[in-house]
Amino acid sequence: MLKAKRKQVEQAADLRLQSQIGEQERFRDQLRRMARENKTAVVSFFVIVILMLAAILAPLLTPYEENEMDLLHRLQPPSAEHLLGTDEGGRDVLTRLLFGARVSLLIGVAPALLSLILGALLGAAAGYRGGMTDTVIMRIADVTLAFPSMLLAMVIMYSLGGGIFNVFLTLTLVNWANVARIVRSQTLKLRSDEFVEAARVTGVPDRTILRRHILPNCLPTLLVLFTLNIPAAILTESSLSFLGLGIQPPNASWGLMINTGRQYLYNAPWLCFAPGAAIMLIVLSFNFLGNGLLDVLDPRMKKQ
Amino acid sequence: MKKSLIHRLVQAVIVLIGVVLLIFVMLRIVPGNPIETMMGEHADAATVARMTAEMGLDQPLHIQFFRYISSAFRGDFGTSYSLGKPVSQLIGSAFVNTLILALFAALFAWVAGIGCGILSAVHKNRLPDRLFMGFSILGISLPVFMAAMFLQYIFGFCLHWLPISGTERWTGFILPSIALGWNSAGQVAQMTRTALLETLQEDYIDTARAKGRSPSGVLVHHALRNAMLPVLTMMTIQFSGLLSGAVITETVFSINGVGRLMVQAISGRDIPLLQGTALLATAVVIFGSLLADVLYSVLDPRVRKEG
Amino acid sequence: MSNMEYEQKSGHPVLAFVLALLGIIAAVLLVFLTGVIGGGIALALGVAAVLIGIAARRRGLGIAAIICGTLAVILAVIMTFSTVAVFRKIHDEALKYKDEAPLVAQCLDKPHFGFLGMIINVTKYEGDSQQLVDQFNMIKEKVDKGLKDSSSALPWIATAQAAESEDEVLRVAVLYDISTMDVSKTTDDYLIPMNVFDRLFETRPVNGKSEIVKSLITDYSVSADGLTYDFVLREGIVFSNGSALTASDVQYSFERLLKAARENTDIPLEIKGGEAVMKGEAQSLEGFSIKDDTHFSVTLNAPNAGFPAELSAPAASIVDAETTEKAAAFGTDPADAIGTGPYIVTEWVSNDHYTLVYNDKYWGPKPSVKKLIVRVIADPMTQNLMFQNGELDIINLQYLDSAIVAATYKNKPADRIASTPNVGETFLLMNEENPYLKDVKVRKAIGMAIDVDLIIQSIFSGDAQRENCMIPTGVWAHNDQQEGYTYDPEAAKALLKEAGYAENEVKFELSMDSSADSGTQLVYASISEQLKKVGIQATVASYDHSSWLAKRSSGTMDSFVGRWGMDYNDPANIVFTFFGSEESNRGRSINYPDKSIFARVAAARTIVDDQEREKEYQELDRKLIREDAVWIPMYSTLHMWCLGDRVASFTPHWAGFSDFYIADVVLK
Repeated sequence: MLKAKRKQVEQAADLRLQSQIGEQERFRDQLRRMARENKTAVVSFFVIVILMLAAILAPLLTPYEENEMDLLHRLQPPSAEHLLGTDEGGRDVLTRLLFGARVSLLIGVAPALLSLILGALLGAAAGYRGGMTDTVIMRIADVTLAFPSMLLAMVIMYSLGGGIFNVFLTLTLVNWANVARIVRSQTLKLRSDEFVEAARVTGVPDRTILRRHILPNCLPTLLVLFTLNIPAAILTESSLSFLGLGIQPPNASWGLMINTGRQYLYNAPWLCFAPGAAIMLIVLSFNFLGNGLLDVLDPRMKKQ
Repeated sequence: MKKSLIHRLVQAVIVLIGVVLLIFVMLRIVPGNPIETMMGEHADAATVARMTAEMGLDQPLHIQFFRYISSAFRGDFGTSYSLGKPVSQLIGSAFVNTLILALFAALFAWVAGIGCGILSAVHKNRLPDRLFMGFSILGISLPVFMAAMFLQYIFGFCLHWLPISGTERWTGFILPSIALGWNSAGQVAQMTRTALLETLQEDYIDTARAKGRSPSGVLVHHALRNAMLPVLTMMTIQFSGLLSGAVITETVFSINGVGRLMVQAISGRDIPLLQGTALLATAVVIFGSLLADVLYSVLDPRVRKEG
Repeated sequence: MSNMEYEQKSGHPVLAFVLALLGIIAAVLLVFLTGVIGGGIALALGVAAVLIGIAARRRGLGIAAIICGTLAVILAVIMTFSTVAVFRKIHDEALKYKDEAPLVAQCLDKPHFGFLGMIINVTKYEGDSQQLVDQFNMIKEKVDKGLKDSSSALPWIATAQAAESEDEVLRVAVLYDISTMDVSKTTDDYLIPMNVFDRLFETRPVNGKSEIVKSLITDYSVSADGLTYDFVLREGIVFSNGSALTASDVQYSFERLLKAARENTDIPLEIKGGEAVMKGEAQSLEGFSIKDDTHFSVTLNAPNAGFPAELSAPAASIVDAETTEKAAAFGTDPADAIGTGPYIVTEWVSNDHYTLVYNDKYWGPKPSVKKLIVRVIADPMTQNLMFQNGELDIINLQYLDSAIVAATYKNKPADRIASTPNVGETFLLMNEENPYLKDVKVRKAIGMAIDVDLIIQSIFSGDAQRENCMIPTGVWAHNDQQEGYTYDPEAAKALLKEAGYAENEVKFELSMDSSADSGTQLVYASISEQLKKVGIQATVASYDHSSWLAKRSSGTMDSFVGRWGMDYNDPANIVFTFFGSEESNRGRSINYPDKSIFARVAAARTIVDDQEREKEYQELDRKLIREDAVWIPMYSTLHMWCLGDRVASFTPHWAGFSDFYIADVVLK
């Protein structure tokens, strides 16, 4: 995720904690308000849902198979038969785009979720326990964050080799530190909250406090982080695949389609532009939705 | 202030050593023998084994590590397997190109980003705001390689204005730096806008207005000066990001830079070269953020007093 | 507070309407004036979208509309701009074509708004409009071409490029940089060794055929037993540093390869005592004796009629003993690359470019090219664009998809294309340790299920030829009578059934090297698809280059598409490499079960009688390919090059190497 964005999320989350319980509108109501007021976010949400449905229903939406080749009709321009033309192996581009959506969306969502869980657990542990645990976890997070994320991803992909599960793992390892940092600072502040202090004094076990008080309070922040991590993951994957380090053929992902299509950019531009437009659409949608959620999170926005 | 600076410096060095260790271990758990890769189709097992021993690649990992560290301190980062030259020499010549590229890209990103950000903030929610913010969101959402390919296609292939690749002429840097800087320009623009809008709401702006200063005077002398602080630190971090993140741009435009060296090192299992490039990129980022912190504390009066 | 006033003004419907009107008028003008219908429509839509964005009440939606709109406008402007540039050029140059296009020239006589006026005059013309349009299009075509050739509309770039394309300079591009200039360390990077060093013999084109010719020697003789060669060095040859070439330089060059004991040891190992030098047991070659500076003789371990041919390989380059011995890093520093060849290396910037210039101490005829600039451009498509932009003089079409080659280069005049077959072969190799592939019937069924002719026609646009043997076409002992596998999916299914396998029961992995070029990747995908049709599940799995090599040399790779390019013209180069020993056979994941074959293949090399040897190789080929189906021979490709306007002729390397003799390029 972008550094600037991370700072913004951090600030908003802090402000949210300061204007604690009571005067704070409930998160569910806030979401409702967003649905009413922020139409872009709503439209983006539906675009995402439609794309996900298209990816899931891909075999029903197209008469072709994912890897079905027609060598006598290579690089055909868009036509009624092939709405987005055919690629260098005579495969239907639209079909591959739909099947590629499965990979690309999965790669957006799964690592974002995994890094969220990993980051939240480690961050909460670091913030709550403090001391040695905190130091160790946060030093590791610092090292991870010190790497340029693309470089880190490249080095990890290098040592693991290509393939979808290694991409999951890589993106998780790249993104968890962001989450951990924010959750840790939230936990630190919540821990000193009277409510939690009281619970601790009365001997409520740590695990219960974490589960009942701290993590639920972090949830809205986590939701925002989740939404903003997805486009970052999709972009990183497409860049990795573009360099030939991500998804490996014959699987199709959008990044990979662009990578192979690049050789034909000047003779068959649809090979590049179709998946390129798809990436832009999905990333824009997630960004708009994430920004909408960020506005909800930030208590300053309520007053306007 | 001095104390915290030393503290940060020590921390940076520790992180850097951690990174070296991390890369070192990660690169050596990979399947595949680099010697075999280097020799290709004509490798016979005996020669591969002999050369593996010659290069000390059959030694235990910790011995290899200490050997690497000790020669690295003497400025010797090994010899590239795939390009046959000392790593330091290869990186040296590639770094010049990357540096020029990053400078051009940063120039574009800052000029365009700050300009658009100011205009957006001043004309909040009107045409320029929407236009520029639209572009900045586009810049953030558009994958770098798409932007690069677009530019190559339009200005290189269709219009014949600028060279498609190569860096023999300075014009060869124009397209790559725009492609590379676009994303950062978007970030700078958004940050400038947010920061400026925030400062415009501060009380002292109203005071200045009440004193009868012209709107542009208020903007330049009061609002901008304060709003630029966070932007400036971000820019420092960004520049190190540009330096280390030009991988894709360099690949698309065939520029001999550190990023492309790295891609090449990865495809050729060229461990010394990969280690060298990764180390350089990380060092640049770590010291970039260190510099950003120092800059921030020098510029921000509040932090200066505290230190 | 201070921003409240701005927020309330969220929409300017009137302004939007006025701007929309202006935009549409501009678009209509564009369509009518320049005929750029697409550009006009895009512009109109774009402007409309931007205006909807401005008028929208919601900020986010507005931004989205403005983004799309602006993109459309930019595209439209660019589309029209290039067209407008052409028209402006037509206006400027129409007078030049006064005789060929008098009607267009007439329209120029009454200009009112420059080139726009000309267009208006053309559209309003009241005579034979078809004739005018034809003439107009004729000029347009010429101008179009001119714009492309000058490759730039901007003056400063045009001059920069002109400076680079000075006379006698040849500009080419390669995909990968060389790793060394030292032949003892490479079997690929031969461009510099071929042109900077000389050899005792060369394989050169003579009257359209490649022949072995004497190079550094003026004479040689072979003893009756075929073991000893006496050579006479050419008099008066000096290295590029001025020192004279002597017989001891030749001896040093051979011994150096053995002492390095790396990629290229085959040739000096044939000399008596070679083994001892390589193992470090002896300092100098026993079979090499020097009579004086120009006379020396070489004694071989076994007779070999092909020895002169082997001595013409780049590996047998002769280096300057003194310089090479002193060099700290021979092969890395251009200053150490001292040879007797026609060129010297002046500069090597890793990963960027290297430069060769003519060696004025060269003993042979003066070549046409005085300077060669080799640029490293990792992407074939970029090379393609650079060539079309006139930034390269020769382009190697090997790595471009044949469809692009067909669309871009096939329509060029015949003398602009140079081609030579890649002497070698691409085949599907199958591991006999795989539970299914160990059955010869399954392997033969696979051979019948692959439609090689379709692959050749589609993926390679016909620029490849069918191979049916292990020994490729163009290699000595190749048997063109041997039958290949004919495509017959029904017979393949029947054979599988006969072998006792149900449909979709046979499963194995096709392991692909992810660094393979796009054509090979397509071959993998199409083999997998074609096998699916006969009920064989061959899934493509891709590995990076190193992992692929590691998996293959472990002997556990199920199946892969292999390619072998011939290093020298002898069947041993392919048969012995794959079947010469159990170890090398396993190292290529073949695991041929009949171990006696290895001894037989090794013995075939030493048969002195050519006819007998040819017979034995053809018999081996028949047994391995036709009987045992160890691999399915598929095709060998044609290596094509396109020549730019500055090149008169070019003869590629005989075996289809990407490296070439610069002297074989003749500039106009």
